[in-house]
Amino acid sequence: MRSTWVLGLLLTLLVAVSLFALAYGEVWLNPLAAGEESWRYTVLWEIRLPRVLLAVLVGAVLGLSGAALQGLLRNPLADPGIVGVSACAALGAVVVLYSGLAAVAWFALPLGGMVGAGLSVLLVYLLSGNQSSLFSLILAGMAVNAFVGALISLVLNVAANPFAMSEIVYWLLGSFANRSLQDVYIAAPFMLAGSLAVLTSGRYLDALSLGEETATTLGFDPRRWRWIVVGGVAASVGAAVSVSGNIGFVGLVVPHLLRPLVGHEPRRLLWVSALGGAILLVLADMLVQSISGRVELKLGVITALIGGPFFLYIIMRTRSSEW
Amino acid sequence: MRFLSGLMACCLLLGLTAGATAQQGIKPRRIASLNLCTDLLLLELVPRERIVSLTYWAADPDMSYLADQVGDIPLNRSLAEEIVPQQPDLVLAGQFSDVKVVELLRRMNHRVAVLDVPLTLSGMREYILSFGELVGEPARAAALAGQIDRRLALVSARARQAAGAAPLAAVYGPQGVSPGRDTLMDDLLTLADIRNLAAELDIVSYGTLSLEALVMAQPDVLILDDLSLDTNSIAHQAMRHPALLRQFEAGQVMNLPPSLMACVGPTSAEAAERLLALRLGLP
Repeated sequence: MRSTWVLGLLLTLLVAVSLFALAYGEVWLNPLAAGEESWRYTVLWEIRLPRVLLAVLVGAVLGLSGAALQGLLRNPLADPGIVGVSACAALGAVVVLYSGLAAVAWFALPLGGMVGAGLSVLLVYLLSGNQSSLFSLILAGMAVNAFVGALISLVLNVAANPFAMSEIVYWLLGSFANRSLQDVYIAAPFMLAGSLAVLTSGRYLDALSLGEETATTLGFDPRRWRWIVVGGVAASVGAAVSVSGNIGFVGLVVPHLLRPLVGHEPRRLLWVSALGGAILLVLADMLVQSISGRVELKLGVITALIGGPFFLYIIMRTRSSEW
Repeated sequence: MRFLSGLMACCLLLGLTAGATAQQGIKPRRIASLNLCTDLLLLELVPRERIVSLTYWAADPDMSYLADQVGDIPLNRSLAEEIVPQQPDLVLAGQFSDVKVVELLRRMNHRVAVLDVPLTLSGMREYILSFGELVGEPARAAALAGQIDRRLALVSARARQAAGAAPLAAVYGPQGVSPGRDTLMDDLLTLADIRNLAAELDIVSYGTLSLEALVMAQPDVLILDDLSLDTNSIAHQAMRHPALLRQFEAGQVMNLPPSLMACVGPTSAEAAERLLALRLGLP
């Protein structure tokens, strides 16, 4: 009952901040009254709308994936950024974009991201399993992030385009600047499909929190459900990163902030984390636009400024019990 | 600012005259260049046999209009170890070249001239003339400078007769970069009787123009600083944003490739002529 209230509250908040984000920019525009065929219409629906839509979708994907991975790996520090899924997705997208493959088919770019994300989820699962200690997961993620970051800069360095190398910042920190509805169209189907798959796994994750054997006796086929969660996370995060770059810490921060409101069952956490992630990124994207100097700040800077200290706080809080 | 650059040009000229008297009558036979702009002027003024090294940019058709003339001249990445084996008797660098490599080459007794490559049209003539003295081709340099001046003067004269009020142009490059006041582009636009949005928004030198600000200003023409060959990058995707393109009709969008804008020189005259054609073609 309480989680229904929280859901309603977050949904209202998301609609409110999204409308506000549409209105906010170089000038104030009323999103509910913009005549067609004027520059107001273009600014509102072709420049701001794609930005807000992507912030909502990508934020929801990252928040949801964080909550699902924390449930699946039974590890409070799991997050697509920390375990290296986002970086691998960025590598896949980078290979597709700068080689020119992105022009071959509309789905090539998100597909590259999804393949990269898929490989890394498998890697993390192989490395740490579902009984991983808190820190073996982080160490594995650190290694994957460092290695894949190097591969990204290698690919960008050999790319033919003279601007490729300077875009490493975009891929490592993420941004919604200058995105168009085209980016929404190519990535949204995969983000939605992947998220739906993850959302169906709520009851399994609830059962899993009581232990793997309990989940099996309750009638869940662990192999099947593991594939559903892992596949859903890979598809949604892969597609999200391919159009926004690697925006870190959302999946870590959001579930932890919302857990006290809805309790500890993963199922309840999934929906609220999706909404919470969306709200966080819409707000962060507005902040980026308002505080930037001559060149717009990357979004990952804001999320890391929030997420970094939060990460340390979680480590400190769990240290005594699980070191 | 103008005073300072004038002062610097004077110092440069003095330095060059002193250098020239020291080497009176001797043309440098093995010239190396560490800067795209000095690469291009070398290719314009000096026979190929006397050029021993150019930068990689010189052979990149996206940035260099003389890429097909580079041929088998060795290319460098501004590393001393690429320059020294060529045994140059003159190394040309720009004011933005790596200070470390200049110091290193000088310590090894190479003659390195650090040129103050002009970033706008003012100072171009003096720069080309002093460059000609330096590389031992003063007559060719004077001819080139005269030819560019005549072409620019013609553009200016024809633009002054153009009908109607000066149109407003937005110049948009990769990553949303737009040239404002005190840039070559601003000079060329002024010459062709076109207003520069970035300059009117008080951007000095180069700044970024948000897509939103650009659409709001409702400029009459859009001048893209676009690559013709490889456009697989986020920076170039932004230039194909539908919100940008739907603001303009076919005759109102022009592409001015970076190879025309990379350095002041003959390409500046060509760019000015293209801008004039755009100006005259507008209703």
